Amino acid sequence: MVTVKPDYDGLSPIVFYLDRGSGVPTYLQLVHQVDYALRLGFLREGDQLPRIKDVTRTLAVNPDTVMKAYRELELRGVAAGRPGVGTFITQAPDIAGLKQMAGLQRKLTGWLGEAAAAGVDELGMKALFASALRNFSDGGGAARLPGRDGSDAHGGGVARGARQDGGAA
Amino acid sequence: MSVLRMTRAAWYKHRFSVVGVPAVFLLAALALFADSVVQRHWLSVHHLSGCLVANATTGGSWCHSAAWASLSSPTQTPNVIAVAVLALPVLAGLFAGVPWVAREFESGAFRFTWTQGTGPRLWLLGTFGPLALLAAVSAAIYGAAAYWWYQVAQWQAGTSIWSWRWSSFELTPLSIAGWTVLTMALALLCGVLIRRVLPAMIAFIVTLGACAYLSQTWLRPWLFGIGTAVKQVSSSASAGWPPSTTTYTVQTWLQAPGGQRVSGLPAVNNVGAWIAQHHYTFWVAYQPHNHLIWLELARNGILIMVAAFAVLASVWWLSIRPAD
Amino acid sequence: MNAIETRGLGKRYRRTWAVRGCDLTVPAGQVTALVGPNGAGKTTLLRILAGLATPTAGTATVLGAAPGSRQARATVSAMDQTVPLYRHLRVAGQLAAARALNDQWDADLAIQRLSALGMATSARVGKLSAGQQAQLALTMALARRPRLLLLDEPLASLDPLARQDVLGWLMTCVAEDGLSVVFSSHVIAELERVASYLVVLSAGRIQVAATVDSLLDTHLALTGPADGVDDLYDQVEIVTAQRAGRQALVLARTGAAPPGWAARPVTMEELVLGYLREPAARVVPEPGLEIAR
Repeated sequence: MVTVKPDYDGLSPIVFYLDRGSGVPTYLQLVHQVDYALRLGFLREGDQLPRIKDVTRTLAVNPDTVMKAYRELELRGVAAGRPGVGTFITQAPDIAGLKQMAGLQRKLTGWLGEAAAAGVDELGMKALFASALRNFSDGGGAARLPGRDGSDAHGGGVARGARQDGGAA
Repeated sequence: MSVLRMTRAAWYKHRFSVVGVPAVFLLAALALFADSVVQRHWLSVHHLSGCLVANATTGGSWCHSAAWASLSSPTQTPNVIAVAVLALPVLAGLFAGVPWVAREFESGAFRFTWTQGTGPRLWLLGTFGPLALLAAVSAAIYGAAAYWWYQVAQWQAGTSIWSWRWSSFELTPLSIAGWTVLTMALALLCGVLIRRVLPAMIAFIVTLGACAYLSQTWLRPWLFGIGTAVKQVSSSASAGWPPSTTTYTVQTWLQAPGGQRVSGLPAVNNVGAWIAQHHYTFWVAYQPHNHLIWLELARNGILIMVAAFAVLASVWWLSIRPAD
Repeated sequence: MNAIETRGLGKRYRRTWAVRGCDLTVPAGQVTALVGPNGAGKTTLLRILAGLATPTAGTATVLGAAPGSRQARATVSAMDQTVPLYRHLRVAGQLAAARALNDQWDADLAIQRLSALGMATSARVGKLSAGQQAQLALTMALARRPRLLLLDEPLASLDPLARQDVLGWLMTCVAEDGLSVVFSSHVIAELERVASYLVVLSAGRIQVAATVDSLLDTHLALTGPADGVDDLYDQVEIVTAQRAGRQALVLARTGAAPPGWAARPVTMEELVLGYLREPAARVVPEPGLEIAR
């Protein structure tokens, strides 16, 4: 019989998980999960993020990694740490208004229909989207997508200026 | 790292040996004591106690009486008895001492012990020390009981009580404690050098046997030759020097009128008359009774020195080759 | 103070060198993963650092003290691959013996942890399962309140849930007490989220010794045309290259992808496997040299 122990003491509304096979660095996964939680409304301004101690225990992850993720969120202005208490959400990120979201979704559905008509399957659609997204963020897109691969704040970066002339995965 | 704490660690780890070794010694002592009480009671009932005492100081077996034959006595010679009694310290060293160290290496447990707060040397001495001390103390008690018991046993076996006999010499508190200290030290050394239980046991038996042999054939004669008293014996005695149960004869010789020393006795019927006739004098070099205690101390002191050397060698060996 | 410092460390058994010429500097507070093939010398290295083996050449210090010295034993805990315990005792006796052998002993920690694991103190240590023995040894190692923990394949006999639990517990100790950990393991995927420092040992020599962050920042997995690999050798520092018919996968030590190649961040598993495949490749920081970006 498996007893389910509460992983957290109820301080934080969200729970982290790790996708080990994804190839995405651990700390980034945590950052993304906070992002998504904000967008989906699981996290609101003033909510506390899971304590570093709890995350390290349940996910068996190096505390430095969690600290790195939280620092990244602080740099983006999304969260702030209160010494001795924890890390809290300071502001919800700027997200497009509900109407804009609906419009974008409609356009996307249309594109999907065109692709399906052209005989592209789901996998092909994902590949096309991923490639286009990569081109957009690496190449000339006017709005840089933050947090793609190491954030603007860091000096270095991987694959920042990579040109993909027909190389793409 | 207090001594008390090391003793506690020894207790948890080697409870069996720490209790077993003294227990075996004390139980054996009790058995010997009880047996001797029974025998002495029998003697006093038959009014033979006086013989025991008389024999001890003046010697001679003139106290044999008919009653003696009906005594339920051990028929083994004193030598056999002495060896049996001395076997106990050997067994203690073999089955408690050697495995104490060798097993720790053989089972790999030393990899736990040496990564705790104590290091190899402190572990070795701190836990083995209490065992050796307990063994020595209980061996001394055992030795006292053996000494007491052996007095009657010697007499029962039909020989006179002679305190210089090798078995009488060994069956004393000092000697048995001394041998026990040596066996423990050798057990320690063999365990540290060999680190496998069975080969270490074999090495232990071999080294101990060598020590016993050397002690008997070389150390004892050499030691007894030191500080002898020399005396001229009146030639009216039959062969010269009457055997006494209180002295140990080292050497006898004749001195010619011219002063030369002649060893050996002439092959004639009446040696005493011959000596007087030829104006020779008969001399003996011997150890008087009051030297016995010093020789005992000396011999056992040497045993303890060898033991100390073995312990130092163990510690040194452990320092230069802790593991691997 | 560095957790571990070795200079030219070597150990020879009869004819063969188990470890040789090891120069290592691991800062304190790191979780160091020690990986390498069987027989690479991981156990020997850990034993030397624990004071259970004397080096044949070179020097080593753990938390500034000589391995096996009193000072080292007070601050360093080790768990050997053979999981050494007093197997003839019961768990309670084993704990009592350990308590007697140590100045610093957190009895509460030990008892709480063992009861959380459901281990009866009356059980004979020798009769416990391999996993339980490992848990017991680990618990005792941590009950000594060390500042450095040396573990030789501690998770080998644990089931997946226990592995997760133990790693989680270790990480909590790292977070709360600033514990430094060095552990060897064969399961590289696990190390990715736990380790902050990586040491790769191959045939007794150190191949890689650097922080995980710096390694992941300075390496890229490049994909491109198989016939372009030869040219690539002139352009970037290649660690290892795998060629299939038309495509090649290259592990390179570089900051940017050269033209004609697609790059993506490398995972620790790929990094370790790549270096293990190329014994000649090295990432060892020399004093005064920065890892090129």
